[in-house]
Amino acid sequence: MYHSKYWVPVSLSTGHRPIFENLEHDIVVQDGVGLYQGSAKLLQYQDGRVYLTNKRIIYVPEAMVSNSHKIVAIALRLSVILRCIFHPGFLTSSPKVEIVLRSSGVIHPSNKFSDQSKISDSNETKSFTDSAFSHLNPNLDSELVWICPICFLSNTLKLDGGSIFNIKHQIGVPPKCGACGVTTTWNNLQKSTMLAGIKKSQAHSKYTYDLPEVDIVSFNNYQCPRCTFVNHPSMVCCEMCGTALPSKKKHTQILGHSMESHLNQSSNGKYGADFRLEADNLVDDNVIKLSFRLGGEHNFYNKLYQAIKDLDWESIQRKNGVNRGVVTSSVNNGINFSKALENVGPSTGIHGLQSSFIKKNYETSLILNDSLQDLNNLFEKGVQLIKLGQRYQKVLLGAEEKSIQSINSDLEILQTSHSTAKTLTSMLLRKNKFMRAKGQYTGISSLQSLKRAVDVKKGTSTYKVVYNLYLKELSRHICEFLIEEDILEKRNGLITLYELYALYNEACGFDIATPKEVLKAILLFSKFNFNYVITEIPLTKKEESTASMNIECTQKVYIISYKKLDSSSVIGKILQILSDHPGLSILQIQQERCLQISFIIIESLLNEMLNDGILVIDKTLQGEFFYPNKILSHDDSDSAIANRNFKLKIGNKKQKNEGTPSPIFKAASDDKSDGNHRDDILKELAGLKF
Amino acid sequence: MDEQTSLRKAAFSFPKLYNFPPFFTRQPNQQTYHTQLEAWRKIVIEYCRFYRIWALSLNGTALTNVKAESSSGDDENEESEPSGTEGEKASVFKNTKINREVKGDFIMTIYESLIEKKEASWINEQNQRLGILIYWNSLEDWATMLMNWVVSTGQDGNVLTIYELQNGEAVQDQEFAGMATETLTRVIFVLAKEGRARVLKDDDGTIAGVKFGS
Repeated sequence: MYHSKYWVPVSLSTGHRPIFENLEHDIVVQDGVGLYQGSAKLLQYQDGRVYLTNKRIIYVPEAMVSNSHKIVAIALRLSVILRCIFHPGFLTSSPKVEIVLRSSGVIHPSNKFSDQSKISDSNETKSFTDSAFSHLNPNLDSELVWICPICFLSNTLKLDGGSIFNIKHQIGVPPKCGACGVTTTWNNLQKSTMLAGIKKSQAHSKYTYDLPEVDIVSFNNYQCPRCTFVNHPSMVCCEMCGTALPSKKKHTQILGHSMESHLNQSSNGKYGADFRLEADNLVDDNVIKLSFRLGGEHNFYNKLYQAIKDLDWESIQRKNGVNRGVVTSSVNNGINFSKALENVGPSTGIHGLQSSFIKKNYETSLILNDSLQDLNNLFEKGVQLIKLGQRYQKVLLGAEEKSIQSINSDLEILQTSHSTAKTLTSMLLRKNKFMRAKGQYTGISSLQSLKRAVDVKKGTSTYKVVYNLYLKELSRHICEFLIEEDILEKRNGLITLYELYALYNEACGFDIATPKEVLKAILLFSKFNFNYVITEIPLTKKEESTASMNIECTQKVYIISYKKLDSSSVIGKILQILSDHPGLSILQIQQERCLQISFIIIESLLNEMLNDGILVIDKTLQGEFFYPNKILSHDDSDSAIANRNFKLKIGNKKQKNEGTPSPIFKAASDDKSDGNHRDDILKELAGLKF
Repeated sequence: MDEQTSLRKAAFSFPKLYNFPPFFTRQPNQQTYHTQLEAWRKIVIEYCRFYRIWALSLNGTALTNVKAESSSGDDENEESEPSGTEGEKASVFKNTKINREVKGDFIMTIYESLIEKKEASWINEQNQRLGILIYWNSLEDWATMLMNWVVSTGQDGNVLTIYELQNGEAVQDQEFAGMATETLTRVIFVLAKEGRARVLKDDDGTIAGVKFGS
């Protein structure tokens, strides 16, 4: 048994995905990964998925699905990572990413708080050189912002740690402007990188030396860092080039910091994890290796490298606000959110311009809304306080007036407090909603990147591997979605695939998955032992001719329900309803109180019951009505008796014939029998009352 | 005569199923469908036996004027048209009480199942619109009945006309009295095939008479 102090057990959601912390979002998912401590294999962690988030590396063993108790998912904080090294695969050994950890950077439960500061300190010192380097050499920055010479839109270009020359080498063609679609030149890009570098280093030096002063000459940070236009202090983005202004940033930083530290305090009380090793002599406490058996190592390495860089940068920002003059993509949470939106939709041409305007409007309206509401609340509180003061004065002046009036005033106070409570809760609700929506977006970022990878890899040999991983992740996410949104509870325990697909796509933005992929993902539910089951109900139509019946059988409807709940109970319910009131149409059945199921499901269930002979159908011009099957049961009892009666009758007649010819069967001519018939009709008519 | 008919034709008592609305729609379930078909077959037979109907039109009304060109195979028989237009006549497939009726294609299936069981046959195979003959006794039963009567009345070896067999004084109290000509010819052909009767034909090919006995 080996005890590692770096790995921390984490809890998983029912979909076997890790539960993310606040402000945490996943970046990459890769399956088929094995873990090493030093050079020794961790025996139980040889086949699993690795989730890279912006805070942690989370390892979920695949074996958890089958026996969930013995093995736990584990996580490694990115903050304890010193550096990472990439080893390409050689012959039979798979490619590996080696992670070197800080020896001092582990939080011990005993002295949590002191260590915390220590960590951030060490973060600081370590990453300071890195970040400083990145200032001087802006090519190492994560993304490059360049301004289109035609329409002056500031575009961003992902560099992923490489230099602009690398990009040039890789792509060959300069990027296009997002708004007007005009291709830029490499020269232009080069210029803007240099500009950014200068700006950054300037900002850096400025804030380290004269941080507290407000520079009136340069209008402090109201000057756009990119185009030098001096904006009005209330602007969020530059009026000229649309670059986000750094004015609001300090606020978010503080917020983020407090949240972060809060999280660190409240996160897992237990530290370290125990492992069984292949061989003890190969252990190196500070080295962890991830072995990628199903590929994806390059992507993971790049993203990990980036994430570590980002984290370092963040901690520097947090420490002393070095980066105040530099534009970052996050101005506040709302804009972060809209950034996520931006990734989803297309951002080119007129449509792109339009959507960017809509987004801007949305953001400003959000901010305005919030501030207005805050003002309102403040005002209300003030009024309340004044009233309270007045009343208190009265109480002090004359205790004898404490009669009906005081009761009235008490009531009033109660009411106002009620209303404030209401507004508070509504605000809270709104915020919750917002946070949840944001969570949805960040939660699927890895899914989206996976999907993109799938699209790219189409036709290549690794396509299948990536596609399978994507399906699995999708399956897990759908399961979580089902649980979080309480979808089945709201729908009587049943939902069609169509509805689920619509709901899922609505919640997660457009284009996340095709219906086919969703179906495949849901079919994986049984493999993961989720509490949901998908059943297939053939959409057979009851047709007169047998030929058409065979054709109709090919259509199916899929229904997702709980495992324990099967359709037979619903069938029982329907049968009960029908035997109570025979002759109901589908709509009438649907309106029954105990059945809130969609029309398609009821229809297909009824058709199934028809084909099983449980029900019979009555087709008229008014519609189709359903009855319990009395035709079959009649045959068993009534008509069997009737049969016997018929036979008896025949027997009697025969006897009569053989005996004396009865006068009843007098020969009637054709005309006469016609007459008889008419008599018959007349008699029937006579029976009716006009 | 009127009294007798009124007594006899109180009304045909349909089985309970006849008032069950889905009984008039073809059921998708195979087992149910077969039961349904069987029930309909019985109803048709008993209905025809009760009202002494020899033939039914395609919509289930009784045909009083059965004519066919079975031997010559001429195309249209105009005389069947009037009986077809009498749509107001009571049909076995129409239940006015619950306002349901069997659709045409399902009627055809019922007819086909009757024919399959040799309880009916088309008046004219080529022209099914003429109607269907319902054998509420099988052709063989009718043949035996006819032969028994001939023997018991001592007419073995005699020649009898078709009209005599249908409407003669001597047959008035027999069950086959008033039998439709089409049905009767088929019964006689059964006898002829067994060699118990000989068909005498006119010059134009119509049956003039039958000589019973071998």
